[in-house]
Amino acid sequence: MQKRQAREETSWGESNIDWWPLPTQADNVNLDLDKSETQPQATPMCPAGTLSFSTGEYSPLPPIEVEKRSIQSRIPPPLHNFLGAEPMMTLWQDIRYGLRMLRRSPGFTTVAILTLAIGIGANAAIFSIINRVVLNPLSYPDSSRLVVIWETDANRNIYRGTASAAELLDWRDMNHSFQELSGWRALFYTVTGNAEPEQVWGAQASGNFFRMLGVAPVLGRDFSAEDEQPGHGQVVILDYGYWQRHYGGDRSFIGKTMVLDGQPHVIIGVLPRGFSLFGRVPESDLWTPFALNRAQLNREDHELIVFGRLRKGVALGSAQAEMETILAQLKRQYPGIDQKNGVRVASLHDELGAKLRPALLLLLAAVGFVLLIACTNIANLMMARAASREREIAVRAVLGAGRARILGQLLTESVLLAILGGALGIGVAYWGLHLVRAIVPAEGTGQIPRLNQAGVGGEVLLFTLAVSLLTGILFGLAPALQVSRVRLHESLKEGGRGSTSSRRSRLAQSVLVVSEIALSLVLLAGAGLLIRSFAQMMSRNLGFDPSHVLTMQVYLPESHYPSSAGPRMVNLYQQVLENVSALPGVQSASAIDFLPLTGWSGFCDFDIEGRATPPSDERFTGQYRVIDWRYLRTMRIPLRKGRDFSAGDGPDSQGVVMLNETLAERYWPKQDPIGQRIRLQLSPGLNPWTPETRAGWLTVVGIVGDIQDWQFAAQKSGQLYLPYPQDPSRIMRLAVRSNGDPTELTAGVRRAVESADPSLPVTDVHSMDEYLAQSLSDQRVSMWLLAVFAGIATVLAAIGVYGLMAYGVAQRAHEIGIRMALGAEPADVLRMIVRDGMRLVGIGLVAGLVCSFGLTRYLRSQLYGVEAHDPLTLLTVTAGLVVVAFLSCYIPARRATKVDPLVALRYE
Amino acid sequence: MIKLTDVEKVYESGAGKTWVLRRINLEIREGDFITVMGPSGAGKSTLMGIIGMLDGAWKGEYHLYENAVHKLDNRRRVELHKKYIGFVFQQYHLLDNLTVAENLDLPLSYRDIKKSEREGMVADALDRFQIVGKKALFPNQLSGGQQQLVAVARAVIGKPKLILADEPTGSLHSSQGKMIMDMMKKLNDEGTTIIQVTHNDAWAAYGSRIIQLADGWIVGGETRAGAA
Repeated sequence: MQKRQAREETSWGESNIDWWPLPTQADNVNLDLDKSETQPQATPMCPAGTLSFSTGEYSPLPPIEVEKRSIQSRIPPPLHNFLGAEPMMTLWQDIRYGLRMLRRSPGFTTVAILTLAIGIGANAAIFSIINRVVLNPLSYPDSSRLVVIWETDANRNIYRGTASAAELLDWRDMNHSFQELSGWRALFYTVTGNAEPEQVWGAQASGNFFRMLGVAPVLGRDFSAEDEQPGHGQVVILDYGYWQRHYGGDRSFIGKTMVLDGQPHVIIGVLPRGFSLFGRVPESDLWTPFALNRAQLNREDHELIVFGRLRKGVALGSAQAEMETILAQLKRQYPGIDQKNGVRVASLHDELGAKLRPALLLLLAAVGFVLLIACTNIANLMMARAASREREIAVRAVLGAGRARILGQLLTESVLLAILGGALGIGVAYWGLHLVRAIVPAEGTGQIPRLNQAGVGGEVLLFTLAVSLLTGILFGLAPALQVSRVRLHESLKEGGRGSTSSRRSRLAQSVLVVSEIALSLVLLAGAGLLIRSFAQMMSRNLGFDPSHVLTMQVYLPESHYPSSAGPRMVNLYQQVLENVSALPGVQSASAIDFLPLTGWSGFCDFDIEGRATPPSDERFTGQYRVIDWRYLRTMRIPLRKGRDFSAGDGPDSQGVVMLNETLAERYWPKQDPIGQRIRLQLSPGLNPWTPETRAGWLTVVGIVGDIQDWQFAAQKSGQLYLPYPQDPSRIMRLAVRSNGDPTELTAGVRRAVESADPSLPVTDVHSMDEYLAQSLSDQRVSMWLLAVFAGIATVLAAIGVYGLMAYGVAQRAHEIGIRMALGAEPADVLRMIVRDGMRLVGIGLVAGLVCSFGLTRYLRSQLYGVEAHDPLTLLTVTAGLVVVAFLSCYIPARRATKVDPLVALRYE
Repeated sequence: MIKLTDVEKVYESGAGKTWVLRRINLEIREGDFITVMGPSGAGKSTLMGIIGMLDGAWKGEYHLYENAVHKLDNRRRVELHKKYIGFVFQQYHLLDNLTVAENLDLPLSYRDIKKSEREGMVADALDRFQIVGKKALFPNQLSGGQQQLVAVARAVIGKPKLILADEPTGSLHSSQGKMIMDMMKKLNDEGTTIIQVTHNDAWAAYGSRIIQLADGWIVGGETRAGAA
């Protein structure tokens, strides 16, 4: 009898009951099923235990005590001492049993862990980015007190306007909310004294800037209040990377001088490694202090971003209120400043992640969907597996396990699975981060700030653990509930199939498949809309031809080209362009201050001759760019009316201006603006040299076609073009159209610049195609990532549908056998299986379409030229999903036609 | 009606060949009521599968009426099966999720019969087998005997010439078994050829001829003068 019991027990697992004491039949019933693990390994595998027991050396303990002793004996002593309590022992037991169950089904375990790893890993990767970029972008001490103070102009939709240095000083004097207020601006420096002149990104900041942030140089000293005084600002702090690159990390360079824009500057310090104000590449290589001379400051040069640190205990709202009061006082004190301007105090934390927040949250939602689909798949697998475990559960129930106990055990298994998936998911997250970094531009306008600082750190690990636990419960609950509801009688019957619970299980599985089809469709719809939007952008007429155009920046430092030598600047560019035009392979060469698609442009208000100056909130305004007279020809921008600029539009000739069609239509609707005159309201301080011609009235001589500008803004902007000789700029970008590959001209153009002035640094060498790609990079990154996630979702959904169908076919082999015995042909069986599957798919698609209608509207801000409910996109992705789902149904259905009715009927 | 000549069935495995049926030569006339008997593993069900064309992997010759089944492809065999054969199983094999009426309609749905005509045939079968009151019930709401009655009704609803009954009373108690066998006898009297497998001598007595199988061989047979 004992031998026979041993075999039956072995069928549960790997027990070898021969060495397990079997006191009585009743006691045996209360023993745990996995006895091989419960017996201490040191116990001899011999009948001695049985013998000892039968001879009365063991006390015949009551059943529950036998159980307790067996459990306690298998917990390692320290853990046992630590846990002690019964629930912990039960958990420990469940974990061991769960691990064994997973080991026993390597196929299921592998598929489940891989699926979960993809889902959890994708979430961890995106979370790690969001954590660094949006949630926790600042690594400064007490960073919640750091703010940015913007000037606003609601009428012109400006909510992040810069301030003037004069305002900064006023704000400092008048406020009580801020511990520190500090100004910052970006600028270029030309570094000379080395073999070749070098143009580098730099920044000028108030003397208290680093103190405000809470950052101290790792070497040397910080700026002091004295450095801010006029005549004392000839000091420089180096970025750590610049120090390493240019000085090899040599500490002895502190105190030595370097020449910036022709002026010697003493190197006083080096910033900490990794310091980055905005987390972007390139960052400032050099930092110099402002020299704030109150007497020379004007209120019209709005060129500073003002940062602040709130005093302890001051709320953002209070600071905002005080700043509004201060602004009102200043408006009264200085009636000349814009009376409509406002001020906005914003948390630096929020501002840094603001632009990317919608796109990243969209991606987080997408990976959330992927995880849900992965959970659905695992739940389906668990359901299928649970059906085969009904008998085991029934036996456990008969042996006294309550529903909660069974639920706990099953959930422990699913959570274990999820934790293993999460562990592997961390690896997927690492890989995913690499993938994202590969897709996102490493520098330039399309980069994600601080992306290189995103990593799988403590917070991400905590997130992964939480997601894993939640995931385990999510996908484990339904199967656990289903199995724990098992009908003992049916499950214990020999060959009992538990048809009722099977139907329930099939219903639950059907719901899961419908859900994942719906989720996949939503993701696909989102990805499809972004792809369509991107295609719209790519196919859109830019208004100019960016192909075969090479661009580079040339900067005229004040040391070589002082403001007093204005005409020399004009002549220099003329000389450069003539040199470049003479190069072989060059079709035409020109220059502009702000290239389109780069995100840079100037704005200015203007008066129209014969019209009253409108109130400040209705001023005539437009973007303005200064161009060389060959610019339209080089960029192939069409001239709609009037004439193009010519070489004759020089500093001494009549002031002229060209308008784009939008501006012309806006201010001269149904009129001809040619011959009309406007006067720009530009601060004289903004330009190095302002000829008389620009200061007066400018005659409109031509109307040019609109061009598409930065990031494909939906609203067209009105634009003014001025000839370069009449409005020169220190920074100009050459635009050179070549006959072939524009980058091949780079060396020749550099030489052409050198031959005009060897001291001029040439930087930012890019083709216009590169700028076009950069300007679309936000959309491209979102599109690619969403497409990747939608692809994963679709594959997971296809696996889900396939799994359900394959499982259904296996479950229905008997039914299929009957049908074939009754005359069903293979085609009938095929139709039946495909029809059943596609019915679920159809319901899922309808649900998905409804959800898509609800959710894609949140994409609206990311779309260009396509509606959030674009029927073509929805139709296409639906059709695509139908094809994938059909194949997922068809393959198991084909297998169903191979069912041997004799075999199926024999093995009911 | 049926002629089997040297029919053999063999399973090949790594260990060698396992013969399930050996040189079966058998002729069955229309209107016969054949009982196949033998111990477990004798090949009874395999023989029924071959005759019913559920099994296509065998050697030898099989003629059903003028059709040389052994020369037909699977598609043609399925057509023959649908035209001539009805099955009754020991485990009834009704579909749990279909009502009695839907189970009866099942074999008709695989034939080229219009819906209205099928409804009439189902109604006739329900009436003929006196199970009209059960038509909306599911199989698990019926007793074993009632389920087998439905299975028989389903087997004959397509008016087959041949009914293959594999232990039709195997899961029934004696009174239910007798009800089923009486029904089979009645069908046979009406002209349907019946081949049944049974271990029960009493039920075997319903047939006109007994074929004994052992280890795949026909080891004996007798023709009975009358039926019970």
